[in-house]
Amino acid sequence: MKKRESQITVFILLLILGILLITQYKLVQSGNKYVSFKDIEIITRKIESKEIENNILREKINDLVKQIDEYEVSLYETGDIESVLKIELEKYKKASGIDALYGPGVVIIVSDGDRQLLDNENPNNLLVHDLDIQALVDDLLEAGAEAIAINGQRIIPHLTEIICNGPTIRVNEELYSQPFIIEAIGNRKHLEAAVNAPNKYGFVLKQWGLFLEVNTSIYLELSGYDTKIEYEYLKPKEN
Amino acid sequence: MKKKNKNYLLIGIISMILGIIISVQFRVVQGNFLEGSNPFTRLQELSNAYTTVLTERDVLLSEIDEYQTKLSEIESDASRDNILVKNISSQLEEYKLLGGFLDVQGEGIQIILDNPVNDIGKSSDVNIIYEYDLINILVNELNAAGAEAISINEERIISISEIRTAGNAVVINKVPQYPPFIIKVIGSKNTLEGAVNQRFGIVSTLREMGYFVEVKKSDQIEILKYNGIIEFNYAKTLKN
Repeated sequence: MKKRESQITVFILLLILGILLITQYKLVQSGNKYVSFKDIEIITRKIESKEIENNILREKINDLVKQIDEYEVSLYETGDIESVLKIELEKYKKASGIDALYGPGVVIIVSDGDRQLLDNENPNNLLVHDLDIQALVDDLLEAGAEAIAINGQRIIPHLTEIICNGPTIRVNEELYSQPFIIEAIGNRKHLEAAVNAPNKYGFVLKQWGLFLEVNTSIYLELSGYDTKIEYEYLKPKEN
Repeated sequence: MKKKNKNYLLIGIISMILGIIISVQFRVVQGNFLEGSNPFTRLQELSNAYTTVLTERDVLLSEIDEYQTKLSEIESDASRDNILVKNISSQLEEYKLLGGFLDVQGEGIQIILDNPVNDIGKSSDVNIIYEYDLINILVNELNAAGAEAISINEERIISISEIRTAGNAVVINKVPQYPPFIIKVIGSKNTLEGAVNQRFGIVSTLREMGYFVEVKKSDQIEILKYNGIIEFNYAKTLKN
């Protein structure tokens, strides 16, 4: 008898719980739908990224305004914009990598390691590969290198390939063998750290036993990208 | 009888602790992650903020366009009666094209690179953000196949572009980017597609690791110009 009574109590309590849950759900739902934390995370990231982009755009606008001012001043003072235009041309020549440049920077020499092989060790461990050179170049670019050359061949990230070619490496369609000499213009300390700091690729290579030497220099001369650029497929966009 | 009561008491205490823990958990999530509101309102706030940022971006871009037309107007005005200026400004256009400072179009391929499905929040082993060198290898491979212009999530790759992991994003031209990465390439579409799809090549390597990769040929790829400012603090032009 007592058992039955408690069963009824439980039944009634559960009924009330159910009704409460449904009311609560309906109240909250009014037009809302389930939102996962993943969605929130994604949109937070998107906002962050776009805000940084906007800041860069604002800098660009400031730059353009300054440039227009310069043009107008030049027009007013000399009647034409030849001198300003020349400066502008120099800037874009520099940025496109066509011009020979000079400045302070670092010289990195990479060569095959000369330590004894361990038992059953793959000799590849001691050789310089295209991926090693590429990773070193990436580290330098990230550290703010303004110009990079491998064995005198200028590296342009959107044009240059660094590809294994048997015992040699192909850079801008030219073949180079070891030792590889990477020259980079930029802040000397930053560039040196980009190779030597723990966890940087240069540091790792040294630990493998490859020969790697970094020297800073106050004066480096890098030749321009001199492979002929012929666009077959690319056209400027028409408005 | 006594034992039964004791059991009930125990269950009661455990339930109480459970309740407290659950409510603390709710509070913590709401306080730290949602900044005091419920998930839905938070999402609405965020999407409003996102729209604002996007409109702001459009405004800024159109402003840039405006200034640039103004600049080219000044240039063309000045070059009308001065051959020298005309020469320089046509050279300028040429170098802008070479350096990636103009919008361009042409045939090419589009690659979509994404993390494995359902993997975004957790820092799993398979996350393209922590293997940015694979993107670098892909770009290198595309260069070797004769790419004439490359952009990743509309960030043009130029002579000083870096591709780098920083925090939980891949930074390209100093802007953090998140997967999916849409890589647009202009060049011979057949050569490019063949090169990346080579057996044991970069695409098959990526797929083997679990990433989602899609390569599409297209006759009309549009790549936007580099929008940052150019600043060379160390390198100077060598005069012969």
